Amino acid sequence: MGYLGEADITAMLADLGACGGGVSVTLGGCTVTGLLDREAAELLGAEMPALVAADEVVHVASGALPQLASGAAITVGGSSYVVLKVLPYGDGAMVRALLRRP
Amino acid sequence: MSTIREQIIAAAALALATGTPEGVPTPVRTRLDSPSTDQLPALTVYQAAETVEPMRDAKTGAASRGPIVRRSVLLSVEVLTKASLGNEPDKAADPILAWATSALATAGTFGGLANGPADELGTKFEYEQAETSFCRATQTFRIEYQSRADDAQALT
Repeated sequence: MGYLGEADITAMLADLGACGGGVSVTLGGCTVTGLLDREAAELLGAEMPALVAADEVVHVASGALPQLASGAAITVGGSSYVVLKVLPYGDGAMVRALLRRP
Repeated sequence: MSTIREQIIAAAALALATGTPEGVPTPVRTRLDSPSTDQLPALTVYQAAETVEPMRDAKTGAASRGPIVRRSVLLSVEVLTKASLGNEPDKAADPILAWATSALATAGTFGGLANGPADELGTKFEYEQAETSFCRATQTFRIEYQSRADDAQALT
Protein backbone atom coordinates (compact mmCIF):
# COMPACT_ATOMS: atom_id res chain seq x y z
CA MET A 1 0.00 0.00 0.00
CA GLY A 2 1.29 3.44 -0.93
CA TYR A 3 1.31 6.62 1.11
CA LEU A 4 -0.93 9.62 0.69
CA GLY A 5 0.68 11.88 -1.92
CA GLU A 6 3.57 9.46 -2.37
CA ALA A 7 3.73 10.07 -6.09
CA ASP A 8 4.23 13.79 -5.53
CA ILE A 9 7.08 13.54 -3.04
CA THR A 10 9.84 12.95 -5.56
CA ALA A 11 8.61 15.85 -7.68
CA MET A 12 8.28 18.13 -4.66
CA LEU A 13 11.81 17.34 -3.49
CA ALA A 14 13.11 17.89 -7.02
CA ASP A 15 11.38 21.28 -7.13
CA LEU A 16 12.93 22.20 -3.78
CA GLY A 17 16.32 21.12 -5.05
CA ALA A 18 15.90 23.20 -8.19
CA CYS A 19 15.17 26.35 -6.19
CA GLY A 20 18.01 25.77 -3.73
CA GLY A 21 15.89 24.46 -0.91
CA GLY A 22 17.16 20.91 -1.00
CA VAL A 23 20.49 19.17 -0.78
CA SER A 24 22.11 16.37 -2.67
CA VAL A 25 22.22 13.15 -0.61
CA THR A 26 24.48 10.33 -1.71
CA LEU A 27 24.69 6.87 -0.24
CA GLY A 28 26.10 3.76 -1.83
CA GLY A 29 26.26 5.24 -5.30
CA CYS A 30 22.67 6.46 -5.19
CA THR A 31 21.99 10.22 -5.14
CA VAL A 32 18.64 11.81 -4.27
CA THR A 33 17.42 15.20 -3.12
CA GLY A 34 16.74 15.66 0.58
CA LEU A 35 16.09 18.38 3.11
CA LEU A 36 18.77 19.17 5.66
CA ASP A 37 17.88 20.57 9.07
CA ARG A 38 20.39 21.82 11.59
CA GLU A 39 18.85 22.71 14.90
CA ALA A 40 20.57 23.87 18.06
CA ALA A 41 20.55 21.37 20.92
CA GLU A 42 21.42 22.00 24.55
CA LEU A 43 23.18 18.99 26.01
CA LEU A 44 24.54 17.82 29.32
CA GLY A 45 23.18 20.72 31.30
CA ALA A 46 22.80 20.27 35.01
CA GLU A 47 24.61 22.25 37.67
CA MET A 48 26.69 24.07 35.08
CA PRO A 49 25.32 25.72 31.89
CA ALA A 50 24.60 23.29 29.07
CA LEU A 51 26.77 22.60 26.07
CA VAL A 52 25.38 24.09 22.85
CA ALA A 53 25.62 21.65 19.97
CA ALA A 54 23.37 20.87 17.03
CA ASP A 55 21.20 18.07 15.74
CA GLU A 56 21.67 17.53 12.04
CA VAL A 57 18.94 15.65 10.21
CA VAL A 58 18.33 14.94 6.56
CA HIS A 59 14.85 14.08 5.31
CA VAL A 60 14.49 11.84 2.26
CA ALA A 61 11.70 9.84 0.65
CA SER A 62 11.27 6.38 2.15
CA GLY A 63 13.05 3.76 0.11
CA ALA A 64 14.91 6.31 -1.97
CA LEU A 65 18.22 5.22 -0.50
CA PRO A 66 18.13 1.43 -0.16
CA GLN A 67 21.28 1.31 1.98
CA LEU A 68 20.09 3.95 4.44
CA ALA A 69 20.77 2.47 7.90
CA SER A 70 22.53 3.25 11.14
CA GLY A 71 26.28 3.44 10.68
CA ALA A 72 26.18 4.06 6.93
CA ALA A 73 28.58 6.64 5.49
CA ILE A 74 26.55 9.31 3.72
CA THR A 75 27.29 12.54 1.90
CA VAL A 76 24.85 15.38 2.44
CA GLY A 77 25.29 18.68 0.67
CA GLY A 78 28.89 17.76 -0.06
CA SER A 79 29.77 16.99 3.58
CA SER A 80 30.56 13.57 4.95
CA TYR A 81 28.45 12.16 7.76
CA VAL A 82 27.60 8.87 9.40
CA VAL A 83 23.95 7.92 9.85
CA LEU A 84 23.19 7.87 13.55
CA LYS A 85 19.68 6.49 13.20
CA VAL A 86 16.80 6.37 10.75
CA LEU A 87 13.33 7.36 11.88
CA PRO A 88 10.19 7.21 9.74
CA TYR A 89 7.74 9.98 10.50
CA GLY A 90 4.29 11.17 9.58
CA ASP A 91 2.60 8.49 7.49
CA GLY A 92 5.97 6.93 6.70
CA ALA A 93 6.34 8.38 3.21
CA MET A 94 9.52 10.10 4.30
CA VAL A 95 12.22 9.24 6.78
CA ARG A 96 14.60 11.40 8.70
CA ALA A 97 18.16 10.29 9.13
CA LEU A 98 19.95 11.74 12.13
CA LEU A 99 23.55 12.49 11.24
CA ARG A 100 26.83 12.75 13.04
CA ARG A 101 30.21 13.91 11.89
CA PRO A 102 32.60 11.01 11.31
CA MET B 1 38.50 38.27 53.17
CA SER B 2 36.73 35.09 52.17
CA THR B 3 35.74 31.81 53.73
CA ILE B 4 38.25 29.02 54.13
CA ARG B 5 36.08 27.09 51.68
CA GLU B 6 36.42 29.79 49.03
CA GLN B 7 40.17 29.95 49.59
CA ILE B 8 40.41 26.18 49.12
CA ILE B 9 38.32 26.21 45.93
CA ALA B 10 40.44 29.05 44.55
CA ALA B 11 43.61 27.13 45.43
CA ALA B 12 42.24 24.02 43.71
CA ALA B 13 41.42 26.02 40.58
CA LEU B 14 44.91 27.49 40.64
CA ALA B 15 46.46 24.04 41.02
CA LEU B 16 44.51 22.82 37.99
CA ALA B 17 45.67 25.83 35.98
CA THR B 18 49.35 25.59 36.87
CA GLY B 19 51.69 23.66 34.60
CA THR B 20 48.90 22.10 32.56
CA PRO B 21 50.15 19.59 30.02
CA GLU B 22 49.41 20.08 26.33
CA GLY B 23 45.82 19.19 25.50
CA VAL B 24 44.47 20.05 28.94
CA PRO B 25 42.27 23.14 28.78
CA THR B 26 42.56 26.05 31.17
CA PRO B 27 40.06 25.45 33.97
CA VAL B 28 37.10 27.74 34.45
CA ARG B 29 36.02 28.41 38.00
CA THR B 30 32.21 27.87 38.02
CA ARG B 31 31.18 28.21 34.39
CA LEU B 32 28.78 31.04 33.68
CA ASP B 33 28.26 30.54 29.95
CA SER B 34 27.32 27.62 27.74
CA PRO B 35 30.28 26.40 25.71
CA SER B 36 29.83 25.57 22.05
CA THR B 37 31.28 22.49 20.43
CA ASP B 38 34.29 24.37 19.07
CA GLN B 39 35.24 25.36 22.64
CA LEU B 40 35.71 21.74 23.71
CA PRO B 41 37.40 20.25 25.60
CA ALA B 42 36.28 22.30 28.57
CA LEU B 43 37.34 21.96 32.20
CA THR B 44 35.28 23.48 34.99
CA VAL B 45 35.85 23.39 38.73
CA TYR B 46 33.09 24.25 41.18
CA GLN B 47 31.86 23.46 44.66
CA ALA B 48 28.98 21.00 44.85
CA ALA B 49 28.11 20.80 48.55
CA GLU B 50 29.47 21.23 52.02
CA THR B 51 28.64 19.58 55.31
CA VAL B 52 29.46 20.91 58.75
CA GLU B 53 29.85 18.89 61.95
CA PRO B 54 30.68 19.94 65.48
CA MET B 55 33.95 18.74 66.91
CA ARG B 56 32.19 17.40 69.97
CA ASP B 57 28.67 16.52 71.03
CA ALA B 58 26.60 19.10 72.82
CA LYS B 59 26.41 18.61 76.56
CA THR B 60 23.13 18.95 78.34
CA GLY B 61 22.69 22.49 79.45
CA ALA B 62 25.61 23.75 77.40
CA ALA B 63 24.93 26.49 74.88
CA SER B 64 27.75 25.57 72.52
CA ARG B 65 29.18 22.46 70.91
CA GLY B 66 32.62 23.98 70.80
CA PRO B 67 34.35 26.83 69.04
CA ILE B 68 35.61 24.80 66.08
CA VAL B 69 33.60 22.89 63.47
CA ARG B 70 34.71 20.20 61.05
CA ARG B 71 33.80 20.98 57.43
CA SER B 72 33.79 18.78 54.34
CA VAL B 73 33.40 20.37 50.92
CA LEU B 74 32.74 18.39 47.76
CA LEU B 75 34.64 19.77 44.80
CA SER B 76 33.45 18.92 41.29
CA VAL B 77 35.85 18.84 38.37
CA GLU B 78 33.82 18.64 35.16
CA VAL B 79 35.35 17.69 31.83
CA LEU B 80 33.35 18.15 28.61
CA THR B 81 34.69 16.46 25.50
CA LYS B 82 33.56 15.48 22.04
CA ALA B 83 34.46 12.60 19.80
CA SER B 84 36.87 13.01 16.95
CA LEU B 85 37.98 10.61 14.28
CA GLY B 86 39.12 7.46 16.06
CA ASN B 87 38.78 9.03 19.51
CA GLU B 88 35.67 8.39 21.59
CA PRO B 89 34.59 11.28 23.82
CA ASP B 90 35.30 9.48 27.10
CA LYS B 91 38.72 8.52 25.79
CA ALA B 92 39.31 12.20 25.00
CA ALA B 93 38.50 13.04 28.62
CA ASP B 94 40.95 10.54 30.05
CA PRO B 95 44.19 12.61 30.03
CA ILE B 96 42.33 15.59 31.48
CA LEU B 97 40.91 13.51 34.31
CA ALA B 98 44.36 12.09 34.97
CA TRP B 99 45.71 15.63 35.16
CA ALA B 100 43.05 16.68 37.66
CA THR B 101 43.84 13.74 39.92
CA SER B 102 47.53 14.50 39.77
CA ALA B 103 47.24 18.27 40.17
CA LEU B 104 44.97 18.09 43.21
CA ALA B 105 47.13 15.41 44.83
CA THR B 106 50.17 17.60 44.32
CA ALA B 107 48.34 20.56 45.86
CA GLY B 108 48.34 18.68 49.17
CA THR B 109 46.65 20.65 51.92
CA PHE B 110 46.23 23.76 49.75
CA GLY B 111 48.79 25.70 51.70
CA GLY B 112 47.67 24.42 55.07
CA LEU B 113 44.00 25.31 54.63
CA ALA B 114 42.80 21.69 54.50
CA ASN B 115 43.35 18.90 56.99
CA GLY B 116 44.87 16.73 54.28
CA PRO B 117 45.03 16.22 50.53
CA ALA B 118 41.78 16.06 48.53
CA ASP B 119 40.18 12.62 48.54
CA GLU B 120 39.01 11.56 45.10
CA LEU B 121 35.61 9.92 45.58
CA GLY B 122 34.71 8.95 42.02
CA THR B 123 33.83 9.97 38.48
CA LYS B 124 30.45 10.03 36.78
CA PHE B 125 30.37 9.65 33.00
CA GLU B 126 27.41 10.90 30.99
CA TYR B 127 26.90 10.85 27.24
CA GLU B 128 24.84 12.68 24.64
CA GLN B 129 24.64 12.35 20.90
CA ALA B 130 24.02 15.13 18.40
CA GLU B 131 26.25 16.24 15.55
CA THR B 132 28.86 14.07 17.25
CA SER B 133 29.21 12.21 20.55
CA PHE B 134 29.76 14.19 23.71
CA CYS B 135 30.84 13.16 27.18
CA ARG B 136 30.65 14.89 30.52
CA ALA B 137 32.93 13.33 33.10
CA THR B 138 32.53 14.76 36.57
CA GLN B 139 35.11 13.92 39.20
CA THR B 140 34.19 14.47 42.82
CA PHE B 141 36.80 15.27 45.44
CA ARG B 142 36.21 15.62 49.16
CA ILE B 143 38.29 18.17 51.04
CA GLU B 144 38.11 18.27 54.80
CA TYR B 145 39.05 21.31 56.82
CA GLN B 146 37.99 23.16 59.90
CA SER B 147 36.95 26.66 60.80
CA ARG B 148 35.66 28.55 63.77
CA ALA B 149 32.00 27.77 64.39
CA ASP B 150 31.14 31.44 64.44
CA ASP B 151 33.48 32.57 61.66
CA ALA B 152 33.89 30.59 58.42
CA GLN B 153 36.76 32.87 57.46
CA ALA B 154 38.92 31.85 60.40
CA LEU B 155 40.75 28.55 60.75
CA THR B 156 41.02 28.62 64.53
